[in-house]
Amino acid sequence: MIAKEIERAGIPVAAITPISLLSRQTGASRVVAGVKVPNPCGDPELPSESDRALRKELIICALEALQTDVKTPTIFTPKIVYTRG
Amino acid sequence: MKLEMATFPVKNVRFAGRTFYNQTNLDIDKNEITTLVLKDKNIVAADLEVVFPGEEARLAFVRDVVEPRVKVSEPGCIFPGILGAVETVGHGRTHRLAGIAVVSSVQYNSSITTGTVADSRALIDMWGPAAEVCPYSSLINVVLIIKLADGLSELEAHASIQQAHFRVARRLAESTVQLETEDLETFELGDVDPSLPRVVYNICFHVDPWSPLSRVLLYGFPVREGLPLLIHPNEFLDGAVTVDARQGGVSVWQTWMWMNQPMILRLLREHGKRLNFLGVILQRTSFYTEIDKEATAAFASQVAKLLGAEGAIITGIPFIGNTFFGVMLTLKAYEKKGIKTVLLTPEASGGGAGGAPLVFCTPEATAIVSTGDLQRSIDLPKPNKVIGCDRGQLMSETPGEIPLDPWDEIKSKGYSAVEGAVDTWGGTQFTVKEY
Amino acid sequence: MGRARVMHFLNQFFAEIGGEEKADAPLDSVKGPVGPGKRLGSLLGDSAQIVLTVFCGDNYFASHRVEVLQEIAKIGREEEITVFIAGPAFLAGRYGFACTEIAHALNHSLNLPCLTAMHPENAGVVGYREYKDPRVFLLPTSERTHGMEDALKRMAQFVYKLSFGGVIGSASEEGYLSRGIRLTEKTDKTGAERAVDMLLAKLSNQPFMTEIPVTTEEVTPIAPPLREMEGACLALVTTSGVVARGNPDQFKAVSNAKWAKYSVSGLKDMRDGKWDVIHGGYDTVYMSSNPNYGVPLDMIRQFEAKEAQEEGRFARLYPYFYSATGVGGVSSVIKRIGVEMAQDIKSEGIAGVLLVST
Repeated sequence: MIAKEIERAGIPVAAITPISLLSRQTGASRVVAGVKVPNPCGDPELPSESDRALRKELIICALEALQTDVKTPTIFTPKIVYTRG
Repeated sequence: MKLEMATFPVKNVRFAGRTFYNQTNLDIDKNEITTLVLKDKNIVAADLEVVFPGEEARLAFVRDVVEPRVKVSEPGCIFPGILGAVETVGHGRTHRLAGIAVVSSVQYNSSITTGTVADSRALIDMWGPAAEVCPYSSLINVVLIIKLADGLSELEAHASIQQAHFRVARRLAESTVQLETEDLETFELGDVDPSLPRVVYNICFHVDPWSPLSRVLLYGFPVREGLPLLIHPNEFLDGAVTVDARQGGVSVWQTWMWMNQPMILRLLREHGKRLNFLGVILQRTSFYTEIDKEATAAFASQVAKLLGAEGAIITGIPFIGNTFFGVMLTLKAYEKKGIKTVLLTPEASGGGAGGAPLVFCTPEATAIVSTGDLQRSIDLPKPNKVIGCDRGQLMSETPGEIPLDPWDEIKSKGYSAVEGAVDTWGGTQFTVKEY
Repeated sequence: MGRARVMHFLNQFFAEIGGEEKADAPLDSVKGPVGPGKRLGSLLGDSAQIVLTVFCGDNYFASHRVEVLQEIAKIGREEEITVFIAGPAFLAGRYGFACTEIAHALNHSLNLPCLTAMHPENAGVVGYREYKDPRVFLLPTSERTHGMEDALKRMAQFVYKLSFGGVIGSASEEGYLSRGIRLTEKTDKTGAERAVDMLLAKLSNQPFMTEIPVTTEEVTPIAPPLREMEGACLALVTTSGVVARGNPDQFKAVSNAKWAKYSVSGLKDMRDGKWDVIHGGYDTVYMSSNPNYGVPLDMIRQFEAKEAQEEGRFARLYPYFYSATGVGGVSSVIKRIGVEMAQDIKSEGIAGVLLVST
């Protein structure tokens, strides 16, 4: 819902979230599929360098999303691998 | 599997020289109980108090609530895996004291102070507006007040509190072991008319996967990363499912409620009459990624499918949030497999201010029962007596949260501090009407 | 209590002045009932009397809204009106809009209970649902005037209840369109009993009534994409609950109603600063030891112009990140937080936002 209001003010939002369902419901139109709820921008189970690389990938994807023209809520999937479960 | 539950109602409680039950009168030997509890070196002080419904008394630092029960026949014991060996329970005979509960009120120095694995504390008011929403305010509450030693890990704190709490509850129930009663109810999933609709009950809940503690314990086994399991409803009646003993409040369940689970009892009593109750699916939904939520939804619905279920009642967690998505995805998965669902849930209507009642809703959810707004604003008046907290001492619902003064009136935010006040399983008559 | 004194509002058509050609007819009033008000008056019987009818053209209302509302309120006060009725408007959109606006205004200025009636798809229903005036009621009608007699009968019955000052029950019980005001109450059966009843009804294809209707989504506003990344100032926003050490703005772990912004000026990594994590909806152990998981400062710094060897670089990162704890919130509160935050972001000249939610 916060994303929706910022978009309504004309400022694009790249919403990094682990639950894309939520973002669609609450109004973000550029959704970046994050990792996990307690750590949306990284994976503490990975070694530190890989964790940072993952975070960088998310940001690249988010910056890309900000510059993309979308007509309906769209999910952007970064090229990352993280611990499931 | 047939369980005979013998009920011994309690209307009077007093402290006396021995622990003894006679025709609704329960005597408790306070010394015997505190000695029992203090055997654990991690407990440095223990006391017992009794409060009655209607007294202007408030209980503070409340953790869990337990009904006194004891098994009087083999196999198994009450709270299997915790008070005794693991043995599948739910048959034979069990005695219970009705109209009474043991409440733990515990203070200790928490070592985890943030997030969902921190300990949490609640209030129980025996009168007033809070009593109208608290399931324990109408019971005679025997309060076990405990102080733990310093320097314990959260796991040790939980273990000590739970052992003490369950032992006291069982000890009280043991006062009925030799006695007979006519108040007997038999619970079993016997053969039924094959034309009756086949129904499962799916309980969704939240636990944190990597914490050594778990909000839901099955025979003492922390569910943590567990997969959905099919459980016989009788097992709940013998205390097979218990909780994290350090946590009290609105967003967790109490052991008492698991033992008196209103949906399970209703379905057991309807079995053979209007439906064929196949069993309970216990499903952890709180995986933190969307795809993993879809996975547990598929697993749970597949168990139901293999059982030949035609219908399912689904209930979720006491708190509508991220984990509610798992509940909705589970509902979707059931419907997709052709199993018709009813969801029972509290809603978040902001005290009538409008806004979406559910954080997320899928079009398949055509049949929903609402148990009330979980954001009610109630004012708790000043009590005459407070148990578990000294005058001048404050209580935070979780360590680090803004504290409140249990000795004073508590305005508008009172609801979130009241033990068990959110109805997740349909035990109350609350609903929501739209105007 | 005496007979209720009713004021009835009509548009030019129902007031029998004319059709579309009279849509600019100015506001006027006559004593007693007019047009469908006559039939309504006889249905009301002893409980209420239409003492006055006010009417104006559909277009006149739209272009003179404020004056018309003031004038009608003045008339209502002078005539000591105790109940206001407007319509039935069926599918006439401008008429329906006028009905709802006047009802809303009179309810506030004169504290009058108000009744109106129109088809559920009339545009006037939108305002009715937004205003949520507890004493303004809207009865659903057919699309066109063939449903007039039925509408008037139901309106008369409703006015009877209103004029006695009695308690009006829920929308489904009383037959009016809901305003979306949801209130917790006790009913005769427990939730578990109701759930079993509902499931058995569903399984045998019997009718049942859900207690929470599935809500329809509002259309999402979509902002245009960022065209000038190189010159842009971007900001980080998070709902993960990361706040300055000591929680100076007193965020609550659950049902938080505040937002704030905290400085990351000069910091290259969140771990170089002092933070707390206030959130009751997830296990905060990882976030507490590494708040970059919720505020990805360490890696986003690499894309700032003076640092960047990367593509997609932007000019600078706004020196604060915005924070609100997102769990268990009332949606109207979250909306307000969103609006305030958006205003601040816009006034600070921020061109794009990375929002991290848990």
